[in-house]
Amino acid sequence: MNLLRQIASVTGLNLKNLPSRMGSSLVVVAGMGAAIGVLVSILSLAVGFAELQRRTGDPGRAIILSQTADTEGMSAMPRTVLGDIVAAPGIGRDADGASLADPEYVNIFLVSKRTEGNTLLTLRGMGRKGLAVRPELKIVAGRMFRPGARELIIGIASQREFAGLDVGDKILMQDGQWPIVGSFTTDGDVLEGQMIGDAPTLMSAAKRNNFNSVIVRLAGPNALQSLQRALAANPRLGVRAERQSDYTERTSQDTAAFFVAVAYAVGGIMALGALFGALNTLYSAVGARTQEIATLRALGFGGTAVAVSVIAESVLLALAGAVIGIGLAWALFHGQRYAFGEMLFHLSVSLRLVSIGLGWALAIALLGGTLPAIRAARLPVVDALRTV
Amino acid sequence: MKYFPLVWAALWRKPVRTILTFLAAVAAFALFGLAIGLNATYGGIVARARADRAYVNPHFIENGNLTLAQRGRIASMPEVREIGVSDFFLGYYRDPKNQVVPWFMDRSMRGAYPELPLTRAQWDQLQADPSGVFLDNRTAARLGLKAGDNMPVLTQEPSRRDGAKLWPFHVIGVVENPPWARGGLTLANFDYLEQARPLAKVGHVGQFNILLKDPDRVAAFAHRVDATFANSANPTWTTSEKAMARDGTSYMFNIPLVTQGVSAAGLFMILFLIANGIAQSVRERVAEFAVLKTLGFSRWSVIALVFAEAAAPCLLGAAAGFAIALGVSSRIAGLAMLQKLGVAPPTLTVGVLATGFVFATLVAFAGAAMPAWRIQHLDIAAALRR
Repeated sequence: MNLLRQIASVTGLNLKNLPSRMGSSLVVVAGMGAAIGVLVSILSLAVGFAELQRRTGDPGRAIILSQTADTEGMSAMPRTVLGDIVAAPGIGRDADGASLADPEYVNIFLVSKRTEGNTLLTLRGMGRKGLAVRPELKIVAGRMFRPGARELIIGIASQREFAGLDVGDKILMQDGQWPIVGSFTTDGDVLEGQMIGDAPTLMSAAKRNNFNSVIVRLAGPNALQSLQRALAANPRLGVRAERQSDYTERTSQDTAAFFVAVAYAVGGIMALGALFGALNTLYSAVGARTQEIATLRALGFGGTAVAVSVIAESVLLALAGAVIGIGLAWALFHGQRYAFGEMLFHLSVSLRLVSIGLGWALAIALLGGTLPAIRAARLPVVDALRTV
Repeated sequence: MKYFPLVWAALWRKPVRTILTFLAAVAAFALFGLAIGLNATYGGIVARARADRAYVNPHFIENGNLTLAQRGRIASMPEVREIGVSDFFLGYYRDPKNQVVPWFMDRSMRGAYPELPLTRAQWDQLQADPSGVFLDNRTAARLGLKAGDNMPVLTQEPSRRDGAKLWPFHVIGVVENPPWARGGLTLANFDYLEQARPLAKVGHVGQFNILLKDPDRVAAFAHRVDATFANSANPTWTTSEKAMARDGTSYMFNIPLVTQGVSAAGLFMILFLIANGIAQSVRERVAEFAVLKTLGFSRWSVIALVFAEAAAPCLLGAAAGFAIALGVSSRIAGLAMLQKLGVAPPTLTVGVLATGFVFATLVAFAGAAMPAWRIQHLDIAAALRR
């Protein structure tokens, strides 16, 4: 008899008997469901966070910071260096030939969550080229702030999450109350968690002379290198350029790595528990099938077919559990808003996560199925039949 | 206790099953210990935060300022018992990786921050020695410094009146790290900062630390301070230590929700395992239980036997799991990743362990309920016939 047909018929027979071992089969399904569900749920946080960073890091943009500063907040750029930076090669130009470079200012202040507690929010001062550098910024309610006016606009994610930031609300600034005149979207990037006003007006209110960064649109694929060379050639400036996607990756990688580490640590321990559960179930399944297996062997079925049937049972139960776990994670968390400070994003059970979850389940099933399968294949036929 | 041999024998009837159940329980309760322990850590931070202390900060965190003039106005408010002044800057010792954050405190911080680990004599030393600092043992170990050593600290930007970036501190002494300052302490003298920094910044303050007469008045006090300075050049943001601790601990995760979710998933996983294991065991030994009943074992002692059999791997697994969790949490405290993000390791308090054992018992109870019911309604004659 050919091996594949043997495997198919023994596996079919085994699966048909599965309902009679319902209780112990549920152990695998529940264990795997819990383990994979937890893994995928926590990973959905990491995926959502990474997606937020990916949307923010437009590779067609570069950010220019002080040489010694790691982040925009730590960087300080005096007005005296701006002229040379804006005129540097590699920066894109608009139709009128003006440089697509926007010196920006950031400050942070506290806002209250709609639920409970406070968090820090970035207040960004944008210049005249701010919109040209960020074509994705669209006003969705109210209007844009006017240059020179003491007005602010608010990102829609922040507006949803924090209290007192609706269009028409007033914000306490260093020189009095500024109204929020509009809200904007930037297609789900970090900016949607921030508040924006006119840079020179904000800076005069804060009595600040230094900008924090210059955001530029790069002229082409190799423009960054010529920009970096030009900036490095002028040490008086004391600044350096970085692709914006590299900047967001660099500044978010510790957090991203932490989320992933938590997910795999927790998921790993759960998976270990699920593995012991699966081993237990499959050993007892082999025990319950002793006579069936012995009979099959006596009829001429090979050990391999019997072993494969055990592994198939393991895989089937594990995948069923994983599907339930992933389904629950998806139903509970997919698309849920998450606030990590002013980083506002949506949890995401992506297709990649589904495959990671199924992959883990498959791996645990194979690990948990192998030893019981070997025992099943080696079952001493005569002894087993004697117990009938 | 006299039934112990019976339970023991039952457990080793199927050693593979018992050991696998035990191992699954170890995994589930190690996770339980770590998760609930993390919850306990953060709960402890909030619980330890004083209800009667408020902080007045600049409304704008970067480049915002408070002034010594504001100190006078706040000090005269009726709620205030003690008001201390503090400030800090970011610098490093020798290598940018060795970050140092000197916490400059004026003399009234002695009253406003009594939990600072300085004795009376040490406070006097600090006040008398402008460029001296006290380090806690954690910071001293991190920087490789001891009492008497010089500690030159460099800042990123010019920070001194003469445009220099170097602050030549020296270590007066090393004090015990208090549990509330996991990041370490570098206690410095505010007068020194005031004397050495640029003239434009003199009279400016980072933070007021205030002890209130009545903890129930903290919200009213915060509102009064912020309203007083709302239209000034230096608007304030006032918060209670409790609220700050709560914000800080919920920054990254909703800790209670995540930790409880994770531990519930772990318990759910082993609940099925235990329930199934004990059900199988009872099914296989129906005749044995019938014999026990025939011999005159009361129904409660038979139920107790079933329960003990379910509870043994569960409770032993919990004990081993907690031991692992203890080992893990004491080891991960030093991980660079956690320190960089300011994440505290789990603490397996007595309360956490007690909760764990209660849940282990509950899981065993829930798992053993069905089989116990079955045994109770056992038809002895029919069972013995098998």
